[in-house]
Amino acid sequence: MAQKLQNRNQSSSHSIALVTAEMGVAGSPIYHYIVFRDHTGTNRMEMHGLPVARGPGSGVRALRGVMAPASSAGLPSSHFKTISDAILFRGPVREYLRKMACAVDALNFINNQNLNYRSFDESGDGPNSIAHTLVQAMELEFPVGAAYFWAPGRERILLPRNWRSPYA
Amino acid sequence: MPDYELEMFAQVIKTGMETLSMSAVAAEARTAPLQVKKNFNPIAPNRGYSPVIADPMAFAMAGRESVRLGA
Repeated sequence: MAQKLQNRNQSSSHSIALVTAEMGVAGSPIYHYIVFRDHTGTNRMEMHGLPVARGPGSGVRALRGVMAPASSAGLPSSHFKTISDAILFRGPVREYLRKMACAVDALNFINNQNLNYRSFDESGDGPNSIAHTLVQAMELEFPVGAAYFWAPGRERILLPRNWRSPYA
Repeated sequence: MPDYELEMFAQVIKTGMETLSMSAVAAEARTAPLQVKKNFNPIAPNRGYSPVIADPMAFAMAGRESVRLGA
């Protein structure tokens, strides 16, 4: 795989974007997630923060980060309306993969914390916290425009202070 | 000549696609013990670092106290 990547045009421009989607009607809470795109602009990989069910009988869901090949269908349009797509990074494949490795590292760290998700706690950790944490883990800037929306949990960073991926 | 750095990134990402897939994460969450407190703080300001995680030592201690098997 690495050899193929090396053989690609190193100047080709891969990108990482923060997608902002409205959940429901206008003014509803916002959901952020991260998309990795190849040099053609095609979505390749997505990283999401999600509430995940725990075992039977547990009313508290776990907060987890997931990584998956990008779905061509995108988010279900009946529930989500994309309102912003901000490019956080554009550059050569090496730096792109470095940042993706940092994000994987951060997701593993977050999941290992076994965090809870409580939807009624607007100040608590949530899926938007994971998106913002990934931006920070990749040493990118959270776009100012995306911060104008009501995105519960966005301002929580789920990493220790001074955490830095060894791949950075 | 092999590019060891690219190989390393590729391996990290490949492993991540397995361990961070929806099915793997869902399976892990089903068996993870419920952590009954500590990332819930109703008076925490809605800014900055999670008060639990900002200090790794505090988090480690909180984790030890808070994990209740079978909860």
